[in-house]
Amino acid sequence: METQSNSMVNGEESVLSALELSKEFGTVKALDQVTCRISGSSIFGLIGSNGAGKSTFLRLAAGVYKPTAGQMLFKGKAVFENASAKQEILFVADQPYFPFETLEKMARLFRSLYLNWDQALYQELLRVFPLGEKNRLDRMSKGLQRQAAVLLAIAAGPKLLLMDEAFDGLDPVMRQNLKRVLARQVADQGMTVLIASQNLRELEDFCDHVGLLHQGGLLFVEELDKLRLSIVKIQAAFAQPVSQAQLAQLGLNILQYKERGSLVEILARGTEEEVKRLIWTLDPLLFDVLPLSLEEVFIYELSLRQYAVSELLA
Amino acid sequence: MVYPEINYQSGVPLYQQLKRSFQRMAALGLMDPDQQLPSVRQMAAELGINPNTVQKAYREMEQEGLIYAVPGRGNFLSGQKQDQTLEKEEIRRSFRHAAQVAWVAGLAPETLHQILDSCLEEQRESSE
Repeated sequence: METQSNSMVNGEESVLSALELSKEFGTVKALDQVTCRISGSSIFGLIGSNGAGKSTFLRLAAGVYKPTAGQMLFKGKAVFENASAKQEILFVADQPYFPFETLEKMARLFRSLYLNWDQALYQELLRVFPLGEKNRLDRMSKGLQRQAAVLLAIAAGPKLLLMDEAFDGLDPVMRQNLKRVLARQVADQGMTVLIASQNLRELEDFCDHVGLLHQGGLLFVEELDKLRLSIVKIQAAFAQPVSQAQLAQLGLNILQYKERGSLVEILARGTEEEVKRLIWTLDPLLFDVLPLSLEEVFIYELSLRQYAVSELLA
Repeated sequence: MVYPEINYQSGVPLYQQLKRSFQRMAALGLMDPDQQLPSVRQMAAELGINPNTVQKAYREMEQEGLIYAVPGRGNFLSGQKQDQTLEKEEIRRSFRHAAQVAWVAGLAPETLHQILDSCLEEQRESSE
């Protein structure tokens, strides 16, 4: 599959770069020539359905897998078998594995492994995520185990935090707590976060960039606000019927046009202000800007690339 | 410190919400000229927002003259009046239609004033 490689870094140094990255398991191509650069201090969302290649990408970024072809670079150096990179990259798996039975023992292990381990931060995080240091991790729910893994990873002081589905299944309070902690680490420590999720909604209010993976290929990478601000959905009614052709003649870039009686619903390219000014010249009886979900934006972006959306988003 | 209100369901990009919120607070006098804004870090950590999003809102507010930055000290609200042409235009349009309806229905101007007053009152209450 052809891979889009829209460069997303505005002159900033990228922390993680995948260059023509491929990974095969036997005859299965899990990732196929993915190119993408993730800049420092950003929060990057990797979206895709089951089997799209998200976890493979994260494991390559963590240095767990060796690329079949192409490169996965952390600060310009290959991640695989790179001990100093592994000091700075922490990976929270979908199903965390704990070699020791309590959080306390795990923390002791991490303290001995990671030079950037921040004991004060660990103590603080224990208050934010009340897990109980001496409780058996294997008896905790999946959600709590994930919180424990996230807590340990953050306290290890990573430059790059990789999280597989970390937000999924957190209750709203814990979700908000996690976002606050992550936001602070990004602001204070220049930490970069890469979150993979099946669910666009889990990521849309937190990431600055999103990439969409499908069948091992990266379909696009874009700044979230740019995606969102490039399309406007409005509804309007006019005293004198206005045709689609008339609107187009005025310069409205119409993507979708629906008439419901005297009410028209228009999806147009442009900023809200541009579209507003244009419609106002026609003196509408009614004019509203309708909320546009990120999902709708994606659906549009993908239709441009001729993909059926149903197969891409969970 | 004054923190803006964020609505995650609205579909409006968060950085725009931040901008509008500060514009509103400035216009309503909830913030004073030269008052310091929360730092990017404070805002991000307090609200659980991506620091890059906060940064972007601040950058645009600075470009538009709503705030000014003092290197090493932070961001402050400027005393400048904001250009609200677009908002005013929009309001005038809504009023014009309301006035049309009122005219057809034969409502007295005083009634219209009363309606406006009570609408403003409702807004005041709901934003408290």
